[in-house]
Amino acid sequence: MSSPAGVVLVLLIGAAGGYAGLRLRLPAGALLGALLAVLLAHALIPTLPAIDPTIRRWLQILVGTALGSRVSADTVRRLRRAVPVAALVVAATIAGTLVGGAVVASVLNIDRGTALLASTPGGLPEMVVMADALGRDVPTVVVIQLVRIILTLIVVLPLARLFMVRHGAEPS
Amino acid sequence: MWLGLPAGALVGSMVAAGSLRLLGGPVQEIPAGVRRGAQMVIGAALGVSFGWSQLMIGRMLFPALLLAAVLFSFSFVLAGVMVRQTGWSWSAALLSTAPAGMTELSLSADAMGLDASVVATIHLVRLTTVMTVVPWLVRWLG
Repeated sequence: MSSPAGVVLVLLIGAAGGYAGLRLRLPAGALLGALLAVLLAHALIPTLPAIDPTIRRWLQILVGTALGSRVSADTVRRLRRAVPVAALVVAATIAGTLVGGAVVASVLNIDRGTALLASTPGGLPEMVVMADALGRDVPTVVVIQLVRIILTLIVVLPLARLFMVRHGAEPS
Repeated sequence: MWLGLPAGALVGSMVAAGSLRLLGGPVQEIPAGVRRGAQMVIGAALGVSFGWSQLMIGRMLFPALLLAAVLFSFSFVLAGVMVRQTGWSWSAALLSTAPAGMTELSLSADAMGLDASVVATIHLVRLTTVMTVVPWLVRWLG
């Protein structure tokens, strides 16, 4: 398949999959839907061309900018109310990631960098983009991140609702 | 990238955009539609770079479950500490410490009548810190 037409086809399939992922309310639906749709299409049409790495680098810049642009003066104001809590959450996240990464690396017998990226609770799109940027094993990161996010939502949301029903919504 | 930072394009742009916005520069939050569009292109670009056979879902299920158990244990203990130290409700503490997406958790906090802005802020701090620290850890671990 010729490259420009093939790239357009890949992007169209990705857009359709991403739209379906959003409609189906998949976690990180835009990314996951596009990824699954293009994976399926790639299995059917092995000649689909790869997307130029330069475009992927620009997308990394866009994802980083999007995340940075969410930090505002309001964030800092709210954070002042919750500095000790936020510091605890960050410390526990990094500790949990290091322990989880060591567990994943030893069970799967994979490199520790990939295991760490797969174990980091930092958002599926962000961690997948980071794994790609650092040249690590993206499929492993996608699968482990996805299972973790789904399990956490399955466990945490009903649990939080249960506490709400039992104790009411005390001010947070 | 020029400074040779690990994942420099990603982390550098995040730090630059965040700093500029905090300093009052002409930076607006990137609309959700643009973020979703970028995610679709990233998904498509990654989807064409590997095959189904590399996903090995069966092989990864057990370690992923183990990992979820480890991270969830950390979150649960931390939520307990938060409840004791700050007097927050268990619901708010759990949603603030859970290792899942910021959007899903802050929307759920809002739906439950909790202070969604604080939950979102804590997750944003967690996310930006992790994004800054993890590339260095990956480089250090090799």
